[in-house]
Amino acid sequence: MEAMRKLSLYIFSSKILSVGGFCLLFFICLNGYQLLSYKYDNIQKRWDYFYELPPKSLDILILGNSHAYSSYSPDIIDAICGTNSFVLASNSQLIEQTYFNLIEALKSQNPKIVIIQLSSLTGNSWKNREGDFRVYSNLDGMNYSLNKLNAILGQRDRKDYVNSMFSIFRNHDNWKNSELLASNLSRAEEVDKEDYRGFSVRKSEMGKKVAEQYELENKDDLSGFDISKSDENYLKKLHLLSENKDFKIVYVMSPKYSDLLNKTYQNKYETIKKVASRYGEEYLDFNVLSNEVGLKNRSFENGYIHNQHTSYYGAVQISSFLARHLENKYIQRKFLNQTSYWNTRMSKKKELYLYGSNTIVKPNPVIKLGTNLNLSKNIAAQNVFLIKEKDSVYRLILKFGPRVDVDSISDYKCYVHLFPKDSDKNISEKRKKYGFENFDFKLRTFPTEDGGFYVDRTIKTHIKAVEKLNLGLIKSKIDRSSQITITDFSLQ
Amino acid sequence: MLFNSEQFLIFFPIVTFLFFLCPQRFKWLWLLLVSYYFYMSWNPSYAILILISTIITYYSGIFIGRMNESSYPTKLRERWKRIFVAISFISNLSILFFFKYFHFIDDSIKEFTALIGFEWHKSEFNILLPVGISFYTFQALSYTMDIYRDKLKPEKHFGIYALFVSFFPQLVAGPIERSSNLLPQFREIKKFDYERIKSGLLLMLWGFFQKVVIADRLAVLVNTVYNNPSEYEGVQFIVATIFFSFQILCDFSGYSDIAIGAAKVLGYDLMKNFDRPYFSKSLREFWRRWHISLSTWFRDYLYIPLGGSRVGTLKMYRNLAIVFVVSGLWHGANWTFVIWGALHGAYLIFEEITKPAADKVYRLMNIEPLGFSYRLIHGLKTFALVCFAWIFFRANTVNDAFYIIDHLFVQNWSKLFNKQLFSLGLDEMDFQMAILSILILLTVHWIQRKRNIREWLQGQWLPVRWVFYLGLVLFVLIFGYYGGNEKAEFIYFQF
Repeated sequence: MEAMRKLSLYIFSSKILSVGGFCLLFFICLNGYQLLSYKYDNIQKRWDYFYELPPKSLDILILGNSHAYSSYSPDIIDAICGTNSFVLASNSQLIEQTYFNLIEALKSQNPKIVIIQLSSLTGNSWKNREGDFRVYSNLDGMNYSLNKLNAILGQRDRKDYVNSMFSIFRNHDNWKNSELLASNLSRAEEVDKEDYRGFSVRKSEMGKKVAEQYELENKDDLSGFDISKSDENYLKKLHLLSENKDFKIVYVMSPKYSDLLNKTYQNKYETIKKVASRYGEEYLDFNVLSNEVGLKNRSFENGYIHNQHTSYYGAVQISSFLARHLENKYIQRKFLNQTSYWNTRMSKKKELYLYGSNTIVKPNPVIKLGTNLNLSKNIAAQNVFLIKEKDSVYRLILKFGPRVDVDSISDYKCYVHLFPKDSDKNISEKRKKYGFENFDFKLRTFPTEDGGFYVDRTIKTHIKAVEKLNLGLIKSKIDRSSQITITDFSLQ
Repeated sequence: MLFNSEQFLIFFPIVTFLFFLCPQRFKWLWLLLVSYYFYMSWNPSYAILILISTIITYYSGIFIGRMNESSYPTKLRERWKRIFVAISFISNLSILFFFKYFHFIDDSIKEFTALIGFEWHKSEFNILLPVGISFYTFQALSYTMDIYRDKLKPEKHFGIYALFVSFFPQLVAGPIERSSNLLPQFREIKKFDYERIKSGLLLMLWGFFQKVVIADRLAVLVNTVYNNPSEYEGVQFIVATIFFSFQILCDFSGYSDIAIGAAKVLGYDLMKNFDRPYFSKSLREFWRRWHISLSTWFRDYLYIPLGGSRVGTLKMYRNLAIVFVVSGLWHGANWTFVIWGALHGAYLIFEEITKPAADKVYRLMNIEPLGFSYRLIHGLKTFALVCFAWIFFRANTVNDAFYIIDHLFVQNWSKLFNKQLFSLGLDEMDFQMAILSILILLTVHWIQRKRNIREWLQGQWLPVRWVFYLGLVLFVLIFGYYGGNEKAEFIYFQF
């Protein structure tokens, strides 16, 4: 009898194991297809990169909607503050999403400061079927966990629970889209990944016409602005979370040109500030701080749209301001608990050399090509340097001051000649007869906070050891700048 | 709650899990509760109808059963039995007729009176057809008839009888179960049986494959053509009709397999409803393989009481005609269904009339009835006739059906090759997937002639089984045609 009982128990256990094994295998296959079939966007990319961060390596976490990832550059903040930060924002993120994203983030990270962009409180006009993909993308990016289930229960309709949990039900038809499958596969096969921190550049800058449109439009009446009970409930939950997990919340609001012009905006600011102060949290509204930040028309993207974002220039201004504010008010040395990680990461970031202090440890991957170099008449580069990102990959930065006219430089192309140490072996076959590798490119400019700009270009070469570099600007065969030649390629 | 809905994906595992945890004496109660919940998820008020039907047939059964055992004189006993049967039939069929055929009769009278110059004012009642009413009404009536014929003792336990009428796997679209098969099973001890559950789940999976991969995909092309017949002709109608023949098979057979599989998981055996009908070599064989639970119902409770084939030849033809016209009407309150039924009746009568002569010809020509060419030609002939009848079944109106028949043989075969077929709702890849999945279905049916695939699988090495199961689940999930705003309902729900 006892033997029979044991045998039954053994059979039962083996069946349970078998079912469990099958379910596991099924979910692995299911997840594999889900990853293969979804339309990858920046929201999922942020989650991917977030999950790949070393555990407990973040000092600052930024959450919010598209205004968060357009206005706050982690690289600038980190260059100034000496911290490691990340923007885990998603399009049209509402406060409930922010809450669940934060819970997810806290599983692997212990940031000391959490910056939350509060546009998430101010509207739900996107909440329609077309806008659903943003919530789906954010949920798809999350790993499977109880928190993901809670996020779905907290945000989606009952009928949509299964769809939200398993993207296969929405994307299964993508088996017909071979290009999508191929691109998802090739991404999965990628070995070298950039250090993406969630920031997205909006290159255009607002022109006169668009500014006039904003000036002439009827402004929203914000005198009756209030925060809904549900939103306030989430603010309370966030506060409780900050107390439990020991981090500081800083609420922020990135500027919109229409809000700058809106006389009733002050009420919105005061309402949010009041609620934030109730929980002892700071609220920085960049609409109200526009003078201190020095916002100009070009600080905004060039588009007459309801949700106008900041331009890259605006993002540089706001990020620098925010970074200095955090540095002065919150950052203490103990924040930088991952010094070697920060060194490795930031030493190859242009932002460190453009905005940061000079507290870099060795090895320094920067080759300084010179300062105040006169390239042509009225065109002087303040600073030129080359960052060695890895073997055979360099990043060339030419920084120009505010006195140089950005339009005058746009007529030029830049050329870079790289000469190898051993010209026979250390160069590609087709460039052997010239003895050097040639890179010609148009000058893509990016603004700096001081009103100047810089040129940024990645150079991928076959040359493993460079002996000499020639650099110059060229407009036509006869109109060339003077050439800069560098022979010292030793890193400091 | 549709079988192909997210709700059912959550509902069924919970029901099954708690069913096996439930003490044996309460299992019936659990199933009854969840069956009513299942039915009420469409419209809670419909539950009243099923309850009324249950009460009437339950008490009819009890009274008829008492008469069967009473010592009354035979004549008196038979009279009372007939009265109770009549009460059961009249009340149940009245409910069915009112909810299903009221508008049909109203419309038909209006059209008829218009023809003879009178004006008939249509009723303004807004009557919605309760889901599955034809199925559970027929199931309940078969119980009354079985007791009347003294083939069955009446079920005394009202709860178990109510469960027999409302058992959720087969409640809304069959199979129409016989009381002698299902009722005793509710008193059996049901234990967790791993192999049985596995087999049931596999059958459900095959049902989902038929429904989601084949039927719902084919429906797109069929609906495009049949909802706007004036825009199409020739080969487009032929393709749409062939597609419909597989759509309706997979839709209904898929539902039946999910129902039978779900019942099997819980430990109950339901009757087979489809047996590879498109491999039939005659119409008679087709009706032995198609919607078996309904065909046998009509055979047992209509054809045989009318005299069946034991009467004279002409009367037998009359009986066939009556059965098929009623069968057509059972399918739907529309003249298209009546014509479809009548057409099948005509096919069978013609087959009966010509059978002796045809057999003689085959004998003279030395054609072997079991030979491949005989089976192929008769299989194709039967399929073609069935397809032709499907035109009436699928067309929205009788006029549409005749328009389609009128334009069926227009010569536009070029459209078969110049990619114009891909503008009928299915793009090229979906069209190819439709063809591939039909081929898979036919291959499985072909193999099933001699071998039960599920049993064959059980004997295979574990990795082979797992690859097969995983492959089928993923195939359904990935290549299924779903994801729109509206769930694709099962065609037979409307009946």
